Amino acid sequence: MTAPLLKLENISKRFRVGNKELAAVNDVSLDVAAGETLGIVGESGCGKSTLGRMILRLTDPSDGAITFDGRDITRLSKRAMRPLRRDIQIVFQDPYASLNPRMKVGEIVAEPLVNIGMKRAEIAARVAEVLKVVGLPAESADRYPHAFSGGQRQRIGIARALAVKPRLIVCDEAVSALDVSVQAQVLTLLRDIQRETGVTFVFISHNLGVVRFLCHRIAVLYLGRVVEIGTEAQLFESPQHPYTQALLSAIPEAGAGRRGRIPVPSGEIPNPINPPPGCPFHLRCPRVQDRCRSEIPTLVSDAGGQAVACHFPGADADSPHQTLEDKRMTEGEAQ
Amino acid sequence: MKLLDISGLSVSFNTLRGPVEVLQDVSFDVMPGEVVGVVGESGSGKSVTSLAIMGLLGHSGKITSGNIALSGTELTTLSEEELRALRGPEMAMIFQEPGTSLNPVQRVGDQIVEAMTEHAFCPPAEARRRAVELMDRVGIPAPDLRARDYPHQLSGGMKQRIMIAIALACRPKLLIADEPTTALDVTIQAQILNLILDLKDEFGMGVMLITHDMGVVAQIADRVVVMYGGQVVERSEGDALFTRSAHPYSRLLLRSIPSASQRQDDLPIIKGTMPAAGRFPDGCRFHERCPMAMAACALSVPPLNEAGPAHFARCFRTEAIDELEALA
Repeated sequence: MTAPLLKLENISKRFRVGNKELAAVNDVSLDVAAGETLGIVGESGCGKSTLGRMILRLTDPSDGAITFDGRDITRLSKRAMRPLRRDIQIVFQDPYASLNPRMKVGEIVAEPLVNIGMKRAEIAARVAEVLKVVGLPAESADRYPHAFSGGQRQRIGIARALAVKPRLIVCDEAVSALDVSVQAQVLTLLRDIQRETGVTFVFISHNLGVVRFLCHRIAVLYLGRVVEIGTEAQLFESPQHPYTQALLSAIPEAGAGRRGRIPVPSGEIPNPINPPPGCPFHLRCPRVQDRCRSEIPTLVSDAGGQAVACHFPGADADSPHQTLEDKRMTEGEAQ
Repeated sequence: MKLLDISGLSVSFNTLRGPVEVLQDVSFDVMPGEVVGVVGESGSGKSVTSLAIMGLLGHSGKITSGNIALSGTELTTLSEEELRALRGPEMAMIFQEPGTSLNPVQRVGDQIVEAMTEHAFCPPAEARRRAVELMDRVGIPAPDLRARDYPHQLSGGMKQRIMIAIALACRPKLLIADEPTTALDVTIQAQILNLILDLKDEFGMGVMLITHDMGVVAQIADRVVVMYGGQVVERSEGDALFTRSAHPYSRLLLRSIPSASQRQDDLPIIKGTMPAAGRFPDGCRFHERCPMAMAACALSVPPLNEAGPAHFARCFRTEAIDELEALA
């Protein structure tokens, strides 16, 4: 196997809150291969955005190491990071807040090119090129962000990220603020860009449908920890962690015959300032046993590369989602 | 008898460029004990519809034609004072952002009490007891303690439960929920939707649920109203929308939702975006984006044509809807 483009090893981030400590990200290890899309999913406060910011070194990890393309970037100074800004870019959630309203779109997209010292003549050509890639007319360059809809603004944000030909783009809830029909347009755009340029995505989202469409592998976070990680097929067809199963079954899916109450874990996500001892999910877990209340489960990988942090992993008998084995059996019967 | 009966409702807003029509000829109804989902994307007019019902259009909004009847009472001709008397006991509303709808400097228990005493629903002492009962009923642990909390001490899910308790305080016959779970995490969303279903059964109220999320509609709506560009474009029983939607917009929109239960290789793209109010094209408001459009679609607004039992679609070509698969 080739070396991963991005490697996070035992990354933690702790914030001081008053005289207490909040562990937003706790001992997270992840690999991202070149050209793949890694999804990071979880509910509010699970640490997914903090993780994204650490990959960009917008926030410094408290512990652990970040390696990009074989180079340890964990402690690089701002100055030393600067050349790497060309390789790692970000697309933010809010297309209304992440574009400077007083800059023309052409200037917004050109800014990262200026930062890397590209020549003026080349900049204009590159701006025109990326605007075309994201499906915006060339004359957009002379207009201000307010003249564009939410979907178009997100295209501008994507164009800005693409301008410097980065190798990795972190997308933090990049389609969450968009209407469904526009979301489909932007998701398709992101996928096509990856197919053409081979760019790597870390795609942070709370929307599991969106993640399934775009991602090759997915990590599920809960209270700052990875509770499960696997390929798209592994995670959606045979989730092993009770939290992954709960998340999947809580999504209301469009379709007939789905009216009624959804089985869902009671309670809410605990306060990260005061996390429960043992497994972070044990307060809400239908499978909880004594061991879960005291011992934090470690992430254990199976032969197929699916890893789960649970003392009692396995398919959920009550889940509407079938395990792979069930599915093969029913398909076999049908034939 | 119909609980809510909206017929031919049109609403305009005054702007610097003159009046802009944001709702045109909107008709649908809600029966007691029924959940009607009103679904649409930004700018479809779904929220304006609910504000018109509640009498909350403000100074710049005006109902230009049509009727809104609640339990047989015509609302469009009532004074502000008469409407205020109905808000609470007859109709109540919960909003998307529970954080901004609650008073930040008043204890949440007092806010529920106030909802009752303001309408002289019951004496203050009883209101206090009922407030704690309601908090318990909407799933707030240790309600007698939490009643003393201020909104900022509660999570988003808990604040939405308080909003529901306030809305239910005077046992309204109609609950309007405008994107009640959009700001919430998916496991909390499921809890709140389950709660709305439980309360609907318990109190027999009718629910008008406004959402952009077809999944939410599938889970809780008995009937569905799809809005686009300030008009109702499709109206049907809940399941019929998903099995045989009769309008090209609804059908394409449903297919463009990324699903978590099966992997899609492609998402169909609806080209363009919804036009803003005041810039709707002539004829069918969707025709510029519609793969099935023909010349007539640009000339006149299609009526709500019957597409099946209790099923209507605002489309000239609804009988040929299955051709969409080949075109899209």
